[in-house]
Amino acid sequence: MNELVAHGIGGRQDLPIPLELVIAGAAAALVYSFVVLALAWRDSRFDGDAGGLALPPWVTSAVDSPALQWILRVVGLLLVGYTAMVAYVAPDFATNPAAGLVYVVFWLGLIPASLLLGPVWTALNPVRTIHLLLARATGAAPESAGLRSLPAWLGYWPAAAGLLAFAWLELVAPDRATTPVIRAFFTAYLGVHLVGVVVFGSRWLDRGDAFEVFSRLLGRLSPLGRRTDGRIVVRNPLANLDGTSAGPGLAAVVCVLLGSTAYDSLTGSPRFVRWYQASPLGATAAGTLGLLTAVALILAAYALATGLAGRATGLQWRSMPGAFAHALVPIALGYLVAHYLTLFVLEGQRTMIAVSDPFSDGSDWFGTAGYGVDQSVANHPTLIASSQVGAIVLGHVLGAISAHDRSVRLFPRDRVVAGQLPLMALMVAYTVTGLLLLFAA
Amino acid sequence: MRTVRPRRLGVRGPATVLLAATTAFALTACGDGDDTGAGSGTTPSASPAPSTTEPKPSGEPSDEPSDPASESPTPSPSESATEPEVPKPAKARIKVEAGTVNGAPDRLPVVVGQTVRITITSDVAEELHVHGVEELLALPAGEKQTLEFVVPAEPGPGLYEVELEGSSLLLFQLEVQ
Repeated sequence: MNELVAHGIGGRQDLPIPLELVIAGAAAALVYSFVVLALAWRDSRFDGDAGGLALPPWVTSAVDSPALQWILRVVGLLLVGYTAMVAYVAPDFATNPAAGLVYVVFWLGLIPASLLLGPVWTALNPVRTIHLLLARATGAAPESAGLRSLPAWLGYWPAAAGLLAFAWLELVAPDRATTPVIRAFFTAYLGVHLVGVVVFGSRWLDRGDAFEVFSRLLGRLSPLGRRTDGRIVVRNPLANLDGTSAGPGLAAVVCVLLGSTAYDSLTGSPRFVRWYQASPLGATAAGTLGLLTAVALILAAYALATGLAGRATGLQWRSMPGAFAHALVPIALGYLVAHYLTLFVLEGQRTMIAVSDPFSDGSDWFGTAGYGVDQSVANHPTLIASSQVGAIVLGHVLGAISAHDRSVRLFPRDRVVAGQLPLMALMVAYTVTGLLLLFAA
Repeated sequence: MRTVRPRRLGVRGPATVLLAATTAFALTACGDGDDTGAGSGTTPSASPAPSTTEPKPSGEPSDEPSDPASESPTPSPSESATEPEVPKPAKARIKVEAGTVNGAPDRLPVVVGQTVRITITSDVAEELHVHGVEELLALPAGEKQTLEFVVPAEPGPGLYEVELEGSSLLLFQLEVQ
């Protein structure tokens, strides 16, 4: 995403982290992996959606009230409507806020919003609202309003494909910060999902919409959740994560997140950029190949590690990738925070200023047009570097704990350590790769 | 449920300890990284520093243009000797032919207040764009052009792309320490 803002101002990245921090981070990841392996509990303690401390009943009824749900749907329509307006109508100047709204406020903003509140995009998603209105008009329940039932084998694969397509748009597509390219992507996106909901009903979006799945997975790390009895509860985020419903393609979703973030990090290295710019394939084809390779390597490593774990424990290897995919979510989150935190702060401000004057005619719609960007975050490179490493190591530790709890539940008691070793090795490999990319790229 | 609650607290116990330990470890690690990182960062720029700092105390320190950038409150000679004073101009000579960048560094390390001189020839008409500091220069086809600017205090440390605006061709990154 380093070049996303090439269209406007920006084009900034964080300084490479010092080698000492790479070593400290890698050592910490390794030490904690073995601490978790050797000292943590021997009986599974996470009870997924079954547990949690119930909030007062009015919280649940407020969240489920049609009034709040409609307010959120209208907010979603207004946000997307504004973005569509600037993408379609406003001139494609560097000050057009469309790119900032899509790549920074929406995509990166979904991360903190979901971590705090849970699956926010499900509540806001305008495709869901449009489908709901259509279903109401025909008198059907939105979940069953489709022409066919959703085949189980499809699982999360459509979301994985959608995430990969969005990563390609964000990291590879030529002129990706210009409004015609953004328009083309989201028009296609809307088309695919409208067909999806018409054919399969709104269940299509539960696992087929990349942004809903992204928001729901990160929302699993929020302290808020819903219990099996329908109550809104407060619970340990790791127990919340444990309740992630596995399905075909879930591992692919998380691997796309990891692989695309790693690829983005790689494109921060001038040597790599120079290489693909000079590639005989052309920059777009070389970039596409690079992105696909990064995702494929992350996936292959995951398949290998879960396969080895299955072999060591005598479990069906086919059931393994889905069983541990949730444990990669904190690692992916660590990658995302490490790579995009300063970009979110800086470009987020720039976008908030730009939204007040989308036509560049001197207007000030929201009173923010005269604001300046507070760039002081850049003046603390040591703090930035240590929070980057901290995010990656914390993601690793949370991932290791999640995988441990799942291991002691699934594996035969005498094979727990044997089964966990390949998974721990995988996580250490991901973490060290993430740290090295921050150091070298 | 009654038996679940204490167990859940038990879960949080080790988890919290781990997290606290991680944070502590990361913080101590960052302290180490800070010292050594800053040390290694200043080493290359320290060598030209004595030549620029020596005439300083004898001259008029208040009129020095580099003073506000370094923000040393007192012009005591011992302090300014350890400060990384503004080194010689950083230079890059680049030739762009048929979409290929020749002679560019991967990264050009600079400090605030340092002069940057980019000499560039492009075989097609282009525009040179230094992100962050927002310096622009029109490049007529085949003509050698020079862009010279002083690294401002804003937008601060980071890697900033130096590219050809028309083709989005990355030339190198300006590494502001």
